[in-house]
Amino acid sequence: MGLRRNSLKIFKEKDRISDIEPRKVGVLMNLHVISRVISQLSIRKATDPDAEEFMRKQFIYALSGGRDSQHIVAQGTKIEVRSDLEPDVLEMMKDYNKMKEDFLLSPTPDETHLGIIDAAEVGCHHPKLPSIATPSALSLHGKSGLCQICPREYHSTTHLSRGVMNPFRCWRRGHRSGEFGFIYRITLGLENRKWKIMSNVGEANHQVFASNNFLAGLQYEKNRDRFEKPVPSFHPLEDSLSRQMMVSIHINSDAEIILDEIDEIKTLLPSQLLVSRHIDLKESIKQDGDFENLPTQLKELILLIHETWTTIAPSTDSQGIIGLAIVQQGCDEIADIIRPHLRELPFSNFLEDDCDFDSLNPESLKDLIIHNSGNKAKLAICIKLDPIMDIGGALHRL
Amino acid sequence: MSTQQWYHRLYEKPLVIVRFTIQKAIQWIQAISQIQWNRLYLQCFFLLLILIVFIGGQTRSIRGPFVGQSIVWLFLSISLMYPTGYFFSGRFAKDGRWATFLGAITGLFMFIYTLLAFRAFTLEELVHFDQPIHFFGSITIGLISLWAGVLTGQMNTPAWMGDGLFHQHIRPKMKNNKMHLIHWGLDGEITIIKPSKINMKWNEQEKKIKLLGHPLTEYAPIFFNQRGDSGDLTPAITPLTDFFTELPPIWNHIMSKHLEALKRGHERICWLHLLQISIPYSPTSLSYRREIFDSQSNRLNVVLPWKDSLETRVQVTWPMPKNNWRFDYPTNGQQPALWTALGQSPPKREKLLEIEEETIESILPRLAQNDRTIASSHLLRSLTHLFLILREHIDSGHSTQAELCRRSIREISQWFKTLNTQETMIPGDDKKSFEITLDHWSVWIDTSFIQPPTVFLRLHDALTDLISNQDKAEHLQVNAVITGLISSCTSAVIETASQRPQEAIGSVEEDWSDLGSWQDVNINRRSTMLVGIWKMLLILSLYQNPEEVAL
Repeated sequence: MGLRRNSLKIFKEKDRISDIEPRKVGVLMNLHVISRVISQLSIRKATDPDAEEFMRKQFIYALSGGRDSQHIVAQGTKIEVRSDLEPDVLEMMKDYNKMKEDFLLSPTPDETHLGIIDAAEVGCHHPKLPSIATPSALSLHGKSGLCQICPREYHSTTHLSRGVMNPFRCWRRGHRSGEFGFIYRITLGLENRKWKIMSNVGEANHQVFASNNFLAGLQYEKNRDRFEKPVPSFHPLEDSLSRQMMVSIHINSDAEIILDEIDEIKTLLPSQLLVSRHIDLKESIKQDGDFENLPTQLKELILLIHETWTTIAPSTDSQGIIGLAIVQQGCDEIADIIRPHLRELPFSNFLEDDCDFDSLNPESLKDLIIHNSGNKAKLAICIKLDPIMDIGGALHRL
Repeated sequence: MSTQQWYHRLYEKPLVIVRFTIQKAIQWIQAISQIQWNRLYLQCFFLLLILIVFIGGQTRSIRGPFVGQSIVWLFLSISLMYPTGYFFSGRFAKDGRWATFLGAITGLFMFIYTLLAFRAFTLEELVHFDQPIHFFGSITIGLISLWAGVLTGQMNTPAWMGDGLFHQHIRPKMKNNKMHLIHWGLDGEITIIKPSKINMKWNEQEKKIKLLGHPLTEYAPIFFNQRGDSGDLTPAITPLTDFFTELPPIWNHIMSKHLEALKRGHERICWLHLLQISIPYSPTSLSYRREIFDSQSNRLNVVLPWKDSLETRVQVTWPMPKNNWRFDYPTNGQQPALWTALGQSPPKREKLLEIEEETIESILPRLAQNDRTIASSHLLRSLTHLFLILREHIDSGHSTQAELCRRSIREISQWFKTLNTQETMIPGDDKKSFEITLDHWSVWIDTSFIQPPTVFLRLHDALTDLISNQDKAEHLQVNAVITGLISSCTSAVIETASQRPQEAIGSVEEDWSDLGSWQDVNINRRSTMLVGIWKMLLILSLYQNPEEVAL
């Protein structure tokens, strides 16, 4: 496993080098807390119903004083060997690999070491799996593991309108137990003509939706003042939406209404052979920089979320953001403004087609990703975070 | 002044006088009831009666009361009064009201016969001529028969005689040595009795010795050293036993029930001191060695009847019970231990003793103020039962198990104190909570020693399921606190389990002391796991019947 960068250092660096309002750092710190809660939960809860037995055995093993199931000479780790001993070490490694393969092919129902558990047993559906001889569950982990390719392979099968929130079936990304999924909604709005992350007065702008056990862990961290402002409120998440990890950036602005009304007037006037000089208001809104500023701020925020999640996610194999979508209704112009900027992001290959708000599937997703503030126009950027977790949880990090 | 007020003042004063008179009369009757006749005095009084009757009744110049005595009346009076005296012997001798009544009647008859002896009047003048003179004689025979019955009844039983011996020979020594009795009532109230107030009464029907209306088994001898508004209190059973052994063996035999009752009282108070004082107020002391525990002092409130104040705070030093709980109370595993030790019948659901409420208000005041008294009491009961079983294991002599139990007591004691600020975790009085009985703890503890990881996992799952099922917004805080508990217990065990002593077997750094550190790691790990088990089980019992959790 690679070493993780110090996450606090990352936040401090970002604080220093760019124009970040405190609430942005707060959002990123809150993601850190969410990740920690997931890690804590993963010690005890399985990501998949089929993994229950494995988790219990591993838990008992850990309670009994065993080391974690991934403790092995990591692939790619260099071992310093004296030159005269090299032939012996090489011979030993050959024997070791042979032994590992033999264990992999033999039934070992009571063993929890990932090196001798078949990858298929953990639900891996990697397209190249059948072609690999004796793939172990351990080989899925790491930067050269099989799990690196799956997000690209399955990205095209997901769209917010299709109702497929999570296309994966394995223990690492599938989350069929529904215990680790969450939706974290943050709200961007205008303050003094600048786009900022709103405060959470009324506890409606920033909310986290998750399972009961997850919420209990979040509340526990909140009681210990681990959350930064804007501190989100917590609400239960229904089972059908509990398999993915998502951040939703709700863009909330009165300018949406103004634009909406102007659009209506604009369509009416020409048919009446009338002209109004107030139509230029729309252009002046643009020129005042409100919507010019938005894409930049949004892009910066999304990039920060990507970098943060890559660093502090429950697994070091996390690829950060593996899905991005604009969900809107009546905000075509704004979406048009934003889209090119999103295409500049390094993970733009994960950008999905726009999704109409009314087409969201399931319907219950609507109230989660956008706060129902009464605006007719609705706009949110849905960010799907890589839900990958290490099999066996975060025992090895304790 | 209105008419109503005038009438009110008119009868108010007489009413006050009447009330005062009645109250004083009641107090006087109660005081009289404590009067006991000394056996010797009774016998002498009887002898005097006989002498006066025969002297007075046999004066030749007058018709005596026994002349022309009808055999039927004679038989009736003897057969009625003798059994009465026999069966109520104890009442006549021990209860001052009855004794006073008998003494007054007898005194009256003695007075009459004395006057007859001095020929102050004749019987014809005393008794109406229409009634036979021998009727008076029958009554006299009846009275003598009554006395004969009293003197041959319960007064001859050893226990009754033991009362007299106790008062004559033991009580003076107690007085000289400032030895008092402590009474620990069924309600948990503690009173100190001066030696001058010790009046034993053997009750033949109940086969018990009673003192001030309570069985003697509720008392124990103490040394009480009063210092101003406080004092020191230490047990005195050993010196008291020495007083008994100094007496002749036959007297010891007669007073055996008294000594046995006081010894049982001492043992009972050992348990009550442990359950009502030590465990709630200094629970860590249960992990101490016996000799250290025996020298520990605690403070408690006692009633001193000779003082005006309601209660006095004194310092008590009391030893641990000699035997373990299940030896002394083998059949009471399903009842709260404190109730059993006090002698209370099993409680109805949610019923608390006043002393339990007071204890919670004292040790967990914030929980009591926030209407969490019932659940807190259940928690304290469960904790008490846990500590009793753990202490049993400490005393069993098995070194590793004893050490694990000792550590458990210390850790749980520290943790219990922190619950005062966690009112979120403790359910309110309007919700149902449970307690873990001794029998149930016994099963859990035995299984935990054999398979700790399995039990840990079982409880972990039970609590996690509890969180999953509590999905309303009002449960969020409770769920958070329980999650915190699970996380801390789990992390503690895993972090302890991941420690390794230097694995240097066979290497040049091999050191025999590593064996000790290996064992220490093992004990640390097991101890942490057991503590986690006890904590989780205690908290689970607040929400769910722990008997429903399969082991």
